[in-house]
Amino acid sequence: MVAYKPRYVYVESKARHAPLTERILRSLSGCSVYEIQDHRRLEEESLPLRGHDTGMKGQVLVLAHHPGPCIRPFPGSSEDPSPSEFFVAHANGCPFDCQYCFLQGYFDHYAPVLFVNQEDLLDELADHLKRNVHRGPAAYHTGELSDALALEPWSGFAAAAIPLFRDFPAARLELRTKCADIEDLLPDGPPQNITVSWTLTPWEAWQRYEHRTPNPLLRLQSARACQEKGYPVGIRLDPALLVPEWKREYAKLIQEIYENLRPGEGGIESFVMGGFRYSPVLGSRIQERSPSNALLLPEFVRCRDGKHRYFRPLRVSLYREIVRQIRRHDPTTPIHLCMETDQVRRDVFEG
Amino acid sequence: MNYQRIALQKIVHGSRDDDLYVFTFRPDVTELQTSIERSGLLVAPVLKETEAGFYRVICGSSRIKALRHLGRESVGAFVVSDREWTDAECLSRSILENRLHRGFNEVEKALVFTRLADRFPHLLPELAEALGEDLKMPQEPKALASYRFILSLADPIREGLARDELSLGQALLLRGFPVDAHGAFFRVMTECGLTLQESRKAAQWTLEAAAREGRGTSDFLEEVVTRPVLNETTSPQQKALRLFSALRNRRYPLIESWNARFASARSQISAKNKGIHVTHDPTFETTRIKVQIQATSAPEFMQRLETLSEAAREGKIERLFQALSVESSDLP
Repeated sequence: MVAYKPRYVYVESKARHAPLTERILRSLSGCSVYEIQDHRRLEEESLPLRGHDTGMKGQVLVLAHHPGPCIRPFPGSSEDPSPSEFFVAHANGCPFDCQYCFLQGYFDHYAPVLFVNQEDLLDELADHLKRNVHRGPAAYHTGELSDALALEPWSGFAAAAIPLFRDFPAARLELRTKCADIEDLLPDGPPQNITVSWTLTPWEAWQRYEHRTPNPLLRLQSARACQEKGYPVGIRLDPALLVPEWKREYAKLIQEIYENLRPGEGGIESFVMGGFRYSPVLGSRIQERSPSNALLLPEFVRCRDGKHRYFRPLRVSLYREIVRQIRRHDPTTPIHLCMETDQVRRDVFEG
Repeated sequence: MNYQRIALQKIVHGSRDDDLYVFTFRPDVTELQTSIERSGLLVAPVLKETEAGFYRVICGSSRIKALRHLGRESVGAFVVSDREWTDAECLSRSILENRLHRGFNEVEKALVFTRLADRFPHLLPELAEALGEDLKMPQEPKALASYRFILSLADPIREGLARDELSLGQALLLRGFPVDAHGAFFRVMTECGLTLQESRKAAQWTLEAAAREGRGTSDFLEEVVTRPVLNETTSPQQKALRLFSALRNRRYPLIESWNARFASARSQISAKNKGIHVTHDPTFETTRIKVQIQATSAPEFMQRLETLSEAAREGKIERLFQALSVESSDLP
């Protein structure tokens, strides 16, 4: 993994005097600091890097003020009058550079943005937990609009959020990440409703598409260390990718997972799989960056939600094989599909 | 400026410096030759005298080329000396004459933009009036790079572009192709009469299918397109239909095989001939089918229902759903 140490820090004027801003700037000696008005409008400022320059990912950190609310219903559940899944937007973007990442088509620039008014965000989270406790189980995710832990060395957000869940056992917090060496950033003896989950792809995909990220083995070692501290660990095979020799590659990855992690009760909490999918905007970004990108070469169809997915028999084949490989090692750990149709669920689990 | 008789062999041409003021790209001068033979040269070219007694063309390069083809030895021309007209004045005259009399084709625009940007950027303010609104100098490096690309294309493609056989947008699609495939894809666009949008789709499918198969683009085009499609003597529309069918089968072989499978299952119901239309979700995301019955009377309607019932008893409806289901044989 290429260590993330920004050369440029863009600080929103509203965030200038936040205690976290001051702490971060002290720790980043030697970086150049620029004051900006609005992190969403970098084009209007005179800055060394901006827009969709991939150099921003490794060189720029934006410190901004989140006006709230930072807790929102999970996409797809917003029309549900009583949604039970939420994401926590404590940061936008991340310093990793994964070619398939949907965030490329989401924000106006590629720099990671950390919201420094963390007291407000944590107060909002605590209040949200209290207000929703009567509705039953609820799931909270960080890692939807950013990597949950990539900015943790600066923010400490996860470490502060975890204890809030101790009094709300029906609520779950998932920290989804591609990081390694983060176990020391998280508190010991966590409540059991906290899951740290790792997004993994086979080595072939990591080399081709996941720039600036730790390799799968380093992530698994960090996951094991988190298991030792008492955290349930989730495995997220999302996106699941049709790389060359994908059956062999996924067999190798699953083998590595079981060589490094403790399975069963208190071990791997669940697997979640989701086939690679892309919006038209993301497709354009991928092609602009690399016109001959192999990500877009398999057969895709445009689905009802506007996203392109692998043609159904290809997805079913991919999922069935991954399930088969998991079950060779572990007959009981739950396996779920993400952002999939009922038809595909039936094809995979009942076909 | 004075009018003189100048030997054609004294008029320089062919190199970048010789053609410093020439922005003409019209390879075919046959029509002009015929006109000169019939009516003589109606408008004298304008030349600039260089050192050592040679002459550089300011206006009239096509006329001079036509005269050379006709075997003439000299031409009556207006001549200016080096001291009389500056580079700016020569360029201005050349651009204005072309712009006002016949306009610029895309290759000629590329010549104007790149030569002015490379050799005369300091004269751009002076040339603004000559360039006018229709020859706005591209400001972005990317736009200028597009024009440089046009000039790098092989002669047949530039000639096709000059004759409007393909548009600038179509010519720029060739940037995505290796050089050895330019000629083949140029033929695809022109011989199939493709629009820009169709050309984009054909380019995308060609490059993606070739990449997926691990083939060189040129080989792929030769096997999939040139031999079976372009070398057939059919209309451009027919060629276009066959082109897209061939490319779709190579780009989306599994989807096409599912389409064929469903079509085969549907044909067994003989539905098309009996006012019964069966369709499916074109993405195959679901196994849902839609059956429409058209009838003009109750007995006709009942007859069609009976056709469907019979098809169901014979297992033909079951086969329709099987055609939409994932079987192990489908799985790669």
